[in-house]
Amino acid sequence: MSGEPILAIVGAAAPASQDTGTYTPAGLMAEASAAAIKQAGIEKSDIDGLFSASSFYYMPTLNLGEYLDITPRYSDSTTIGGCSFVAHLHHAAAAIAAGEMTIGLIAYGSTQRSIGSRFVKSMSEPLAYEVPYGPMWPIAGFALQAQRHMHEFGTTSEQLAEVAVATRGWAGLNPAAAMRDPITVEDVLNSPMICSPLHRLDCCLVTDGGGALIVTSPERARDLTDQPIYVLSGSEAHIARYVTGHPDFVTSPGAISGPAALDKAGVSLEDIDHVQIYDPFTIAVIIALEDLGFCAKGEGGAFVEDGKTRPGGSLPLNTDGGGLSNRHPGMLGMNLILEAVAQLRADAGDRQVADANVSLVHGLGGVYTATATAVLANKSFLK
Amino acid sequence: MTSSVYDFSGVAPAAHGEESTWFEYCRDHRLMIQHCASCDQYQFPPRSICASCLAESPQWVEAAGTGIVFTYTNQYREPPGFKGQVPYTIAMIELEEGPRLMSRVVDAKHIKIGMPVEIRWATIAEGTDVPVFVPIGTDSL
Repeated sequence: MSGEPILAIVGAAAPASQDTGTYTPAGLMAEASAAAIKQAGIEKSDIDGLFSASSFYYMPTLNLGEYLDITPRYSDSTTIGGCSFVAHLHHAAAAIAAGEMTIGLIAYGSTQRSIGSRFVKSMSEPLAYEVPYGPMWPIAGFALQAQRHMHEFGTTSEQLAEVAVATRGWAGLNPAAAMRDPITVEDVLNSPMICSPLHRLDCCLVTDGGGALIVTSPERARDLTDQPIYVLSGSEAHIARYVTGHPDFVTSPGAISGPAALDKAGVSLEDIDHVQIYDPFTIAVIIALEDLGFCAKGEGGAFVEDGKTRPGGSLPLNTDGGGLSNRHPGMLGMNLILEAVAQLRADAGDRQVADANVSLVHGLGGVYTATATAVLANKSFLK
Repeated sequence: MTSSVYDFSGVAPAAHGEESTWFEYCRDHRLMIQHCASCDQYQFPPRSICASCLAESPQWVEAAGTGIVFTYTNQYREPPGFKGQVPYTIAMIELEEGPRLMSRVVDAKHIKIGMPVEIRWATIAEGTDVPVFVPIGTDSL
């Protein structure tokens, strides 16, 4: 099974106006979709499957279909939080394999920043038993996990801070990133505490954004482009909706979806050239590295400590500057895929990872109570 | 019945169904969890069924009101409705019976994971009392 692609990405684009405050979330989705359609060299009428998730629209594929005037025969608004778009990849592959669709559009748009909703209210849908205690969504949930991780494994604030420092290093190489000035571990520790042990610089940005992907079968992709980006596998898992339901506060569902995706792709971690991990807060990356198997449970802090995820390090991670320093439009999964595609197309400019042929995309949703993992590769890997 | 009643301004949730039942018990200062007679499991949050064996109508039982701090965060930003209260400690309390619930730890000299705590009650809005926890013994103020 090794290297058998299940899907091909033949168009991938961000909305050109994502920082201008000009358009609605649907407007941004459509702008990105038009760019991805053009890039793929298809007609709009070729699209017969729509995929979206949103914190703005209850039925986002309906908004997407109306705005673009597309009538799909397959529609999937699966919402498992910010990683939904990563899950849509293997959903699309399954729909194509079942003969239900031939070309799919996966799209997202968010005006989270320009409408000033810093609490992401639409996503909070709070649990009655948590409301009286006023936990800030979603940071309090991650802080509770970080504190438990520190208690069980001795993880330090300095180790969490290293994730932010390394990610900022990559953002410095991305001209489009929002925050590019280098920071130090001390800067992170000296930034205001928001929810202990998480400081402001342990937290992601709040931005607008979005993106669109055109996906089809690997066979069909051969007719469309010389540079398809293949999806080798995808997997998803969720363990709870609310942090109250988290089984242990230190192991994410990534411990299920990560190994499953690697196994289905027939690749090992040694094959991975580039990693995009959903980083709403620094602790999420540490837990992900453990659950994906880069290190043992509890050793994530020590694993990143030597700077191996910084530019020039042995594990290029969140090379666009991530949610921490590049952009975070509320649901980061689309951006994870866009950056993996850029790397695998060797189209990442100063931040390009040499010989990036296999990328691991690992998204999360809820309060780290959902995950979706996908393995992407270019033609060089399949040869 | 526990004695201390704290007063915080807070947010009363929109509660429905089994949630309302739980908050009604809180009004009588009874912290309720559920016990399944079929499989002998305790559960919280309350459910219409036993999440372990799917037996119907799990029994409401009163928790002893003691437990430990499983994890916590000191929150420095005030969400709407919690003006003037930060920083405050939000904790997951692991009850003696096993289930965990979110709560606040108050009157603590310091806070640490594993610290034994016991229940008190706080009025957060008119007609809404919720459990909070204080350290047992020397960790208490």
